[in-house]
Amino acid sequence: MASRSTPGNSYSASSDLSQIEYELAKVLFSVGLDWANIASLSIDDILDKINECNTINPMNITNGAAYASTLASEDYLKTQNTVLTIMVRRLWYWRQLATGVL
Amino acid sequence: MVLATISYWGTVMTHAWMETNLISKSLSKLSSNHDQMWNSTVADYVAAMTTHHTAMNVDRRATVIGNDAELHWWTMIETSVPGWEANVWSAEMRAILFEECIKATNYLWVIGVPESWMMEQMNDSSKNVTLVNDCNLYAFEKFYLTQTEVSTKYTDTEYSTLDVQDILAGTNVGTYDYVHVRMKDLVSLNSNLVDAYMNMLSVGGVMHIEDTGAYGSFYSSHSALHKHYMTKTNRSFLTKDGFMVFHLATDDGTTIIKRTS
Repeated sequence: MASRSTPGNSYSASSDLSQIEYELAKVLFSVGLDWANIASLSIDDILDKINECNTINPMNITNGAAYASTLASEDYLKTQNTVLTIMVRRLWYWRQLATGVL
Repeated sequence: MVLATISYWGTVMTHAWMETNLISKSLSKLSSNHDQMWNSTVADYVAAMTTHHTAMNVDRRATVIGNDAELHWWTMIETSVPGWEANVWSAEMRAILFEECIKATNYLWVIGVPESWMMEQMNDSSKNVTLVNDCNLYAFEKFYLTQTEVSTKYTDTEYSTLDVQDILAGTNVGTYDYVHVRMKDLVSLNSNLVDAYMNMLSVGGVMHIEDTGAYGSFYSSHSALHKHYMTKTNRSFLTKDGFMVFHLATDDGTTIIKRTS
């Protein structure tokens, strides 16, 4: 148990970083990237990979003449793309902050 | 994706929740101790946060932080836009509301903007406050507790700290009667974080989750709710037995979860 009780000096950057990297590693593996290569990966690489794995196709089914709709699978990919992108951006940001005060 | 991004950002900036929170603030009366003042201490704290982020040389390119309000938070409130001030105030007001209703004594908090009510709980010997270890805890300790106005006013500040890993491992499970987190702390590839935080509640305890409406963008999904990235996490609250879940579709979104068994 890592409970600390010294007001003013209880933040642990190493524990914070460990948890952030645990979550980040999960995302990396889910898009086919290896955590072992994290030192050579940029966030641009990761975002590109997320897009590559969750490609959003143009709306390809028309619903009458007025507007188009999407397949459920396309909706899923779009949502998955969004949540992975948001998670990576946040985790990358927080990782920089934790690393900065190690 | 780009269009969706712009649409989302537009929703964030123009949704009526700014105005509703201004009205909420003007029509609410908390006790004199619960003033939630946006004073110089808070202003200095927010300025120190943004300075710290700059000093850390955090990558803030558009492609890296996008339009995520979570990553623009401190710079946005630093500009003191009236709606932001009221938004922060209203979120904290809701925290006080539920705490006052249940008379909690054992808190688990992911810290946000420090304010007077929170400090009072930490200075009340009948209350136990546990803060979650994250970058906001670092800022709270370095840029808020160290201010002279704070250290002289609150002389008996006590709290303990818990790592997220310990929450996932079930440390202190079932002991907190008030858990206060934000949605950013729960969004993950699976429901592990949701399950873990909900399990921290004691029977009868209440969990208060801020921003479950994605700063209002959730409510513009209309019939396409399933397309919103936050829907999956919100629905995961409903999958566990022994909990009542109340999603309050107001401004930025608030969810209250009560453990019943």
